[in-house]
Amino acid sequence: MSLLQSATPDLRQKLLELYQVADLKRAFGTVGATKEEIAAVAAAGNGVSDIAAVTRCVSDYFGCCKQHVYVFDRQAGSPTAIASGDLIESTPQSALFISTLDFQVITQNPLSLKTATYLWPIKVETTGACTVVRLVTLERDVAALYGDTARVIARSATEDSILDAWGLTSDLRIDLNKGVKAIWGSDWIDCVKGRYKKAFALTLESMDAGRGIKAYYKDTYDAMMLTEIKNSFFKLLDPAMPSVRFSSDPSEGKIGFQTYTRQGDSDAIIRRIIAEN
Amino acid sequence: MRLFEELLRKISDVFPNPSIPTQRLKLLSRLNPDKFYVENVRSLLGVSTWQARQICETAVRQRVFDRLIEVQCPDGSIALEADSEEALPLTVECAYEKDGEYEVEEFTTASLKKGTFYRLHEERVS
Repeated sequence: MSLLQSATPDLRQKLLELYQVADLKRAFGTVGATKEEIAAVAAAGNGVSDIAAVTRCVSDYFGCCKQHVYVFDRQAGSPTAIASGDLIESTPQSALFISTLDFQVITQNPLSLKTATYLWPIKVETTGACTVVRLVTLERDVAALYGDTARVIARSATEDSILDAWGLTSDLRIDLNKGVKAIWGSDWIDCVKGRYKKAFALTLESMDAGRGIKAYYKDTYDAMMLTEIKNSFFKLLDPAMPSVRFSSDPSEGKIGFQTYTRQGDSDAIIRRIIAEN
Repeated sequence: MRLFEELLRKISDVFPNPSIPTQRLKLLSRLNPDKFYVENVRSLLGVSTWQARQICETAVRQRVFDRLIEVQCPDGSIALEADSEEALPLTVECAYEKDGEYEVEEFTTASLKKGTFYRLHEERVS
């Protein structure tokens, strides 16, 4: 029996609640007003068609989730299995995994230690000369379940431990400075919070009210184009992708999406950075 | 330079000053007429903070400056600017770094610090 089939309805529901309500409505129809209601109904059954529907939703709308993305040289290999989890979908260009993940959460009033288990969607894609690992982020959601004062103090696996187990170590990550700078130079994006390395200083330029560095501080933009860009926050200037933002630590081969996106937006950003790299 | 000379002239009109040395004029070139703070004016004129604030508020009353408000995220970065407190939305989003990763979180505007800044008033012809 697969992990999704053998999981409790509650676990499947929490998996679906990682997705935004608009996507759940598209996947399952408007079977309830709230995300929780739609997810509960969709997660209730563990028949073949129920699990197929859940798998389809997890796959189709994976790109819309909040996630961290790591880009590796394709020669580093492409995993086909995951410990404590299942491969739930496989194509020539991608593999979608679900892994179990336990959080230790400490709550106050009353003081107690709880364990929260999640099903964690992770996708591996091959794009050009790269292996791209995409992991849905969920730590803040876990703490939020237990109130403002709850804190996650431990987890059974981390992004690093998953990547290390696959032999995808940090030294194999691709430097994305060229790709990020190319899309910045072409005005597809601008930088809202720019962290970069001067010769003798690490500098942060944090723009007011979402303004872009290139638009307002051309000198800083020119300097950043000639040096290592560190963990920075960008916005899309493309009118077809309004309000889309992402982070990147190009020197570490990392891209991050901190908010939900529309279907295809995060895929487009990742593909374009890699293509221009 | 012309824009900054105009700014300086307007400041001088509101609060008469001795003639400004060339060194201070050079500092004036760093000001952005679209956004400046009390401290920018204070350091330009070499006056106290209280005097600089009086200058700015008098300039607002005389429609030389506009006063605007900015909302600060917990990390000090500016989330939003508005003409007045009444124009602020109930919530704002802040992007911040935590443990080396960016997060985006929504905050109630009431819970965040506000700041004041000024802008050279521009007459808009309708």
